[in-house]
Amino acid sequence: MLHASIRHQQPYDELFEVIKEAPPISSQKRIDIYRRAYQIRLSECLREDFTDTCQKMGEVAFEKIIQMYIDEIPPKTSQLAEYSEGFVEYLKNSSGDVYETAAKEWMVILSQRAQEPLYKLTSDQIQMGEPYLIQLHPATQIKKLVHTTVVSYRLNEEIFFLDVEASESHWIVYFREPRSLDDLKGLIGKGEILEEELMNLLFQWMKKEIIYCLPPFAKQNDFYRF
Amino acid sequence: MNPLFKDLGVGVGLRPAHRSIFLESPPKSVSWVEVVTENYMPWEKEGWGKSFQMLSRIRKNFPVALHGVSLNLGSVDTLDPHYLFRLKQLVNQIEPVIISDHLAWTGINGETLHDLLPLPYTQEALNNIIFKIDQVQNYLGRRILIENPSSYLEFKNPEMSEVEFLKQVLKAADCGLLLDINNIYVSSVNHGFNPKEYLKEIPGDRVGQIHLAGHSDQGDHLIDTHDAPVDPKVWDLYNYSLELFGVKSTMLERDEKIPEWSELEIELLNIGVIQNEFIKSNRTSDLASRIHSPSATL
Repeated sequence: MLHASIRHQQPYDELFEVIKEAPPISSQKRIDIYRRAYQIRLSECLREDFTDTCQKMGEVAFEKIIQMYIDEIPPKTSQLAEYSEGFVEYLKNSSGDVYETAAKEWMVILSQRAQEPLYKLTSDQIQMGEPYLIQLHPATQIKKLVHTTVVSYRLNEEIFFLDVEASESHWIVYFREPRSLDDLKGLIGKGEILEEELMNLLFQWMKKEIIYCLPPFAKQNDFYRF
Repeated sequence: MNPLFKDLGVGVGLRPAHRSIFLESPPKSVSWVEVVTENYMPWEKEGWGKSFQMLSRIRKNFPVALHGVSLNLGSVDTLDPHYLFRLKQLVNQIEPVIISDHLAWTGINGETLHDLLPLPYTQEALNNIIFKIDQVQNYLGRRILIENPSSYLEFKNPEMSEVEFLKQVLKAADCGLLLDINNIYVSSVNHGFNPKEYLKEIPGDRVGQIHLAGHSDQGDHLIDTHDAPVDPKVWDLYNYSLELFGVKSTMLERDEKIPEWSELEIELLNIGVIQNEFIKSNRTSDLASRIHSPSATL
């Protein structure tokens, strides 16, 4: 009852029967303390994460949509930060521009949050002949939006975006798993990609830290994913 | 007899604003830190985050206490196995000196309000939370601490007082107490009870940690906002707790309007000053044993 009353911002007569009336604060006011805290907590979380979306939509429209989201979709994750992820999906029915802005803001959060790889080989180590695998950097995010596919990546603690063609996004996704040089030679051998094209992509992505090189032993221990 | 909990000295609730200080030039004013568990646990889809990596580095210099807000111990829902699994992963990585959560519930039917909601102080609620704490302790293989919450409403016809409920939880679940002095003060104003009487009821040997924090005055009630320095009345209560229980691991929480580290450090140093004054004044902490002894007279 208390849960429902806080969540739906509605008075429940039955609730007043079980709450101790203790002047000078009325029972209604006591429930309102929890209701207000719930609203503020969720609303602040969304406002903090989606400042650009708010600017794009305008204050009034943004306030209306976050209220609708809070009313319709209660948080189910123990980490409040994850509540924002659902908001992006909720905005899918809004105009394309709004959805894209929100999706990009969420990508920035994920790229910022991602940990640095524990084992990362330098170009010197690679040139010295250390064996290595290539994998997407944990901070790299890829998302198909309405018209484009976008990659976010972290370079020197800053987050950047890159619009990618379908073919390029295919190869970025390919590096979600660690890949060896033999894997890449196999692709070229089967004619799936030209050597020059692949080398060019790898060079660009390495420079941007979209991908990185890791020692083979780090394959399993690099970072934890559920 | 060895005490259940070791005095860790003065600690602080480590917030992102001050993380770089702890990474670059670890302060000498604190000997341990407490972090909000959920901010460092892996996410369901994304795994561990950069904040966890930072905490791992900080852990090399400081013992870490993990303080949870979403264990949902008081709910009628069963414990969330995904939450417990992630908590254990974090515990295994960080090897915390303390693990704690609240005498409260946060949601039902899988929904969470991200708030610490008050419990009805009934035998049924007591049995439920004791069972849950027992499950958590068995799963983690260690004792946890339970924090007394601040609250803004009480249910009618309680079968016992909050402090009686708390005492029974501590005894039956064999867990420790994270004694939040500010929460006692906030609730005492909101519900009109004597905070010193509440403190007197606490079994001192179960106190594993003390929280100090600020609150905001809303005229006819107080809110536990952690957005201000510790109130003089809360410092008074802290002094009183020293008389009752002696020096315990004590830390300062600040979650809103977080000041510069140098400003926060003044309050932290004050904890040490108060503790030292107490020790120097040679006051023994036998007051508690006198209160709890059947033949005691005050």
